[in-house]
Amino acid sequence: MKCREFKANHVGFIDDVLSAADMADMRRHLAVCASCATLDIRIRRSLLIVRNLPQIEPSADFYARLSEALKQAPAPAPKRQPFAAAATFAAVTAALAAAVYFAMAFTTDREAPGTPATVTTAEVAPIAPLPMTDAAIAAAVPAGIPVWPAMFMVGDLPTQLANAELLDSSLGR
Amino acid sequence: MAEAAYKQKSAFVPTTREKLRALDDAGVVESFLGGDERAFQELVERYQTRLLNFIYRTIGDRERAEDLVQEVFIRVYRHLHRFDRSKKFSTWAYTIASNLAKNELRNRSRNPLVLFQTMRSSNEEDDRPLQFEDHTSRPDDMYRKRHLRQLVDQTVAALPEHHRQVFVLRELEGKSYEEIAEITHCNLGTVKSRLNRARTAFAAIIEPALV
Repeated sequence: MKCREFKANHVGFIDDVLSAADMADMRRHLAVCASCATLDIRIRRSLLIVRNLPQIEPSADFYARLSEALKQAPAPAPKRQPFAAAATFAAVTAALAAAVYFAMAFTTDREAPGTPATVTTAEVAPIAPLPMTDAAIAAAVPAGIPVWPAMFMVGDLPTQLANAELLDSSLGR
Repeated sequence: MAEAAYKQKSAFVPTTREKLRALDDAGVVESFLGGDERAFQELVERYQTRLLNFIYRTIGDRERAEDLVQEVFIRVYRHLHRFDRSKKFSTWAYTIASNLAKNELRNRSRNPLVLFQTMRSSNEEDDRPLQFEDHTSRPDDMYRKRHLRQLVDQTVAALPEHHRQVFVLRELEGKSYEEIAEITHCNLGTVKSRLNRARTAFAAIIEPALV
């Protein structure tokens, strides 16, 4: 056995948890290696002191203080019921799936199975102007947003780039 | 005769505390969860000294160690319903203690003031008169014991944190390698490696003082 192997196994050797064959190998190495024998004695001696050290005791009022702290601590956390949690999870998942299904059913066109999809271009209707009466604008705009003053100046805006017909109809002309 | 039989019978009826003491940890936990508050006191009595020594030797501050042990028991009290009773209560309690001790050391390394106060409180122990410690020992024995304890405490404190925890759990708390692995969230190989280095380092540090 080499010193490296001895040192690697030294923990088990001290604690007597190695196999009988390994323990014998370790003892044989100790008999022939002064360096490892010194290390072994040094460690055993130091551990003897540590393992026989007296324990420190808690203070006399330890339990009284703990009782006081427990009274002020939050109540014990409720135990989660595994079956209730699984049932809740299943119900939520089912509800979500149903919502997605119905949303898709009402928003998409159903085609007969096997019908190839065709691409069509929908006709876009002309954009109708928004009703721009002063009273409607003032009522529609939330208070605090300074948009409505600009509406009074609509009539003064240059119209050469705008659709004159649409503008006239929106202003009631 | 009936009276004698009654007296004999009542002499052997164990008190609730005696019944609790006769139970193993799992039995005491069951009693507590069954509604017996005194069972919690039994758990505290079983583990307060061991946890105090473990945390004290990990963080080096006796006063703070007691605060942390209190915190351990508060957490045990609050979460015992969720404790997996197929596992050992001891390992669970030590894991909580280990995590609190690690957090304490982490917080100290970020706050120099806390570190200074810790060093001061450790040194104040020297001012405590010897005669209150042990009335049966001779004064020179008491001095030697205190000196040895301080020496060991200082040497343990000098170990790197990872090595120190494993060393304390093994040498002072008598935990198995498997328990240490569970408490410190390491594998067995790491536990043995750290323990090996800790023992070597401990012996190297303390040996000059023993001569």
